[in-house]
Amino acid sequence: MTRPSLPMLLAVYAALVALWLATYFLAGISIGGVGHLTIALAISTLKTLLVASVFMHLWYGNSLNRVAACAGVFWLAILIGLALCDFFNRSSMAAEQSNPQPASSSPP
Amino acid sequence: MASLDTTPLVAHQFDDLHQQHEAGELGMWVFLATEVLFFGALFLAYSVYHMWYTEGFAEAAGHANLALGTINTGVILTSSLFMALAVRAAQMERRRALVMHLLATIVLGSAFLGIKFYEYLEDYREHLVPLFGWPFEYAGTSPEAAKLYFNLYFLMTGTHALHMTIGVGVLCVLAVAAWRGRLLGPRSQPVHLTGLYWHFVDAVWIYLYPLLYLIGAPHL
Repeated sequence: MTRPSLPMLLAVYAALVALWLATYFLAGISIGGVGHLTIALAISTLKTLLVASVFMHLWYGNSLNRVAACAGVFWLAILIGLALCDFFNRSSMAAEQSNPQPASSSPP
Repeated sequence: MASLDTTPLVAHQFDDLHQQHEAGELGMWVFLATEVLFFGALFLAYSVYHMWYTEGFAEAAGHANLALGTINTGVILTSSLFMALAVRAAQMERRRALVMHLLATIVLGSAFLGIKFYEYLEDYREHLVPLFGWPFEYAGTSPEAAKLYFNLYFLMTGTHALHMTIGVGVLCVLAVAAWRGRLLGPRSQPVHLTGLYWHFVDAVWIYLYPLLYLIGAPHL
């Protein structure tokens, strides 16, 4: 069975700690303009990729596991992507409906 | 020591140990994919309300304990390292190392939960828990946004803490089994599968930390 070596596990842990401190200190300094939250979430994604590929053996194991993991992310993208499409277009639809028709369709 | 275990190594529905391991691992990954969607719904709700009430959320998040949240992130990352080391020890048939690494993971997981509980207690004392009809008093500019933030905060960290609690429970069962000389070499897969679950819960926290704590930092 292939598995990550001990130096590999320790290197990933060191990287995770460095990224953890980076997120914390980045939040404390003013970059201005460009969203801090975007940077923080990008760092989170980097950390998750490290955890998934080495700690969770995704890099070493069966490719079927990688398919299952990607499927989870794909469905999540559908969930969030389509829901946010709705969210971002709500206001324009609401504007179109701001002059409602006479209530002919209301129940008696 | 592993020979103390009298249950058959390969269950009768599998051809061999390799196939059994592949099936178990894939099953766990499929379960984790459903967990991604389970937590994904909460993250979606958070995203929408955060876009609506960006200022209000940032102000409310200033009341979360950033120091304890940051410490807890370090605690959970370290627990993941010990979990990974436990999996390695189990596969290499090192009983003593397996038990010690499992215990370290349990201790760090419990420390995380203890710190989390202390934070909840602090929020309760400051009347920031908008649940169970408890008094909610918030002096900031948008109490409605703060109420939404704290609802999501307790729902998301609470669901996460529940997962952690289940994980600690399973790890305790594994630690006892490991102490009795089980879960080594070809029988080590339960440790690996629990590890996958534990690392997943760690990854969820990796996202909760910036979304619930860091947005309250002064410059974010």
